[in-house]
Amino acid sequence: MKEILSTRLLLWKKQWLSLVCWLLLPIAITIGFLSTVETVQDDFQVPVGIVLEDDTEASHALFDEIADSPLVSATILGETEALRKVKQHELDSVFVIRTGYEEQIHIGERRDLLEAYYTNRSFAYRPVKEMIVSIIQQETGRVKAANAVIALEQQLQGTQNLTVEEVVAKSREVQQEQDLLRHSFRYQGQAQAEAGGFIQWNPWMVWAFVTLLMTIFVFDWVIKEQKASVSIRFPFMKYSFTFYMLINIAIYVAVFFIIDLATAGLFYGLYQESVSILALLTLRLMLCLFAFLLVSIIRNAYFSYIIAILWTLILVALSGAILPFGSTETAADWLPYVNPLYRFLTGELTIGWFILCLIGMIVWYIREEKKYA
Amino acid sequence: MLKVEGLQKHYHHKKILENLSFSAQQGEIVGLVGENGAGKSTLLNILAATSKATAGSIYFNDWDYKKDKSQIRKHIGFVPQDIAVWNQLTVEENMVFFEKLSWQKKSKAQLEKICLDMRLDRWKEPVKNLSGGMQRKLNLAISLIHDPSLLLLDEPTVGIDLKSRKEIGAYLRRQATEGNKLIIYTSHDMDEIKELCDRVLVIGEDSFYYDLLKEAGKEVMVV
Ligand SMILES: Nc1ncnc2c1ncn2[C@@H]1O[C@H](COP(=O)(O)OP(=O)(O)OP(=O)(O)O)[C@@H](O)[C@H]1O
Ligand SMILES: [Mg+2]
Repeated sequence: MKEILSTRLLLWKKQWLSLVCWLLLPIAITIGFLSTVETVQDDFQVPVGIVLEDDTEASHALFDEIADSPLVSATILGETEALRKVKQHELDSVFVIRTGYEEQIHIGERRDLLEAYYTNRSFAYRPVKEMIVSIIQQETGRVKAANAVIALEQQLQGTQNLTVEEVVAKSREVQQEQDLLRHSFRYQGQAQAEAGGFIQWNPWMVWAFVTLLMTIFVFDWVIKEQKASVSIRFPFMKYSFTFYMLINIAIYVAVFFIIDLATAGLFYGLYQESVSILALLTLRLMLCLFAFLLVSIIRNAYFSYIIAILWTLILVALSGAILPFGSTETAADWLPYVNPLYRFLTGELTIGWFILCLIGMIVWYIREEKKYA
Repeated sequence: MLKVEGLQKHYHHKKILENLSFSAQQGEIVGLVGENGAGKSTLLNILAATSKATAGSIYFNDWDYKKDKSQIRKHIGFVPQDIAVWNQLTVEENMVFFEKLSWQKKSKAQLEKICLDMRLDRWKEPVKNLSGGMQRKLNLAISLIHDPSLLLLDEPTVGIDLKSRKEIGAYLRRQATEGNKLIIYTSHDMDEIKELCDRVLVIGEDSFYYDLLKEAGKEVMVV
């Protein structure tokens, strides 16, 4: 074992620079990509004026949520000034939050809360309006849900003899009526479609795709070493070629994982995005085995680069990263099976694909051992 | 001692080796000749225990090839027809690399001595900068790291100039007599065969090589 590690170090000594580059590239690309996207999005912020007729906690909360969106840069203005600025096209549009907003929200009424001003040159009026409306809907929805819960509770207290079945039935009913328990599914890796079509990228998603590609690139050592024809010497040595390969895969997993842990620390520092170490480990194991099997089957460095790139692009497209409005709801059924990154992107352990690769490895090991047996 | 009895090798239905029998002693250099495709490499691979015979039995020092394969392999130095070294590594690194994985531990000085004994003196040179002859020498040196007692060489001197060939020849002779190794090697160079081998095995039916070597006064055997 130690001997195999020292032979690996001998080979690495000749290419440490390129190895380090490949290993660090996923971090570099992720950071580069996110900062580029950020700059581009900053440049596209739509100037919007907000007039707070209703000067309450609720209306200020609404303003904060609007201002938080990467899509808009919102400012609170007086109505006259706001209208002047819209006319002069200094503002794209103006939204007036009417008096009584807070009260209306509390009774679950969402009509006539908002008044908007825009011109024929207001290109972002619609998406901004939809965004605000959806925030309001969310707010009224919450109030409705809370009311339903309170009603349910009162009902329960009044009639002690309610059965479990009745409660469940009622909660189902409520759920259907009010969307009370709507399951909000966030695909961690999914480019989140914020209102108006702006995307909040998760660094781990970008990283996962890049590291998938880079792992395959790095694993071209397998092809090089099978081609180097030195494998013919292994029957006369202490370790079989298959065992030598296996230990080397383990060495690569270890090195990759050290870099992965460093990446986790870095992303936490930069983006406050944390990740499960176990999820990261299962992903890394799966990726290395996958890359090994892929290059072992293809046996041609350039061809495997091409396959890797194409495949990554297909996965990116499938995951809806490029098309964030794609029908992820329907895709979700089969996506976990074809996308080896899916589990990681949803914050889970990569078990299925890992087992699949493990089976592949066992088949490979038995076949190779037989060759020289 | 190596003993081969009734050896046959068929690839599917193609008969490559038919009923081959011979034996050889430690300290001997045995040449293996025959035209292209006669089955020389096939025989060497079987003797190296990396390929199975279709029929027949082989023994090395009372070890049965059918049962004690891994034991036998420990004592075999196999020099492949294609150069099997790391091109990007230096001579030294190549020797160290294979020493790490070998059955025997060797110091750097011992490794360097193996190379120097066959006049491979470019210790710090990357293999890709070496001449073909030097690469062949390294190809041979690596196979000797674990002190094998049976050396199987598949055209070890192909494409090498006369001087290097003589150096390798002299080295092999010393290995056979001083190191008490049994060396079996193939070559298409009859001058080399005549000069170096104690005995020659001719594979195949044709009498061309037989007559040629017999005339030169060699001990020849058609197998
Ligand atoms: N794996 C294989 N499957 C089928 N036939 C094979 C295989 N390996 C070798 N052969 C055939 O066996 C015959 C002997 O091949 P071998 O390589 O042993 O010849 P050789 O005497 O070493 O020739 P050369 O002088 O060219 O090195 C050839 O006809 C070759 O086509
Ligand atoms: Mg041959």
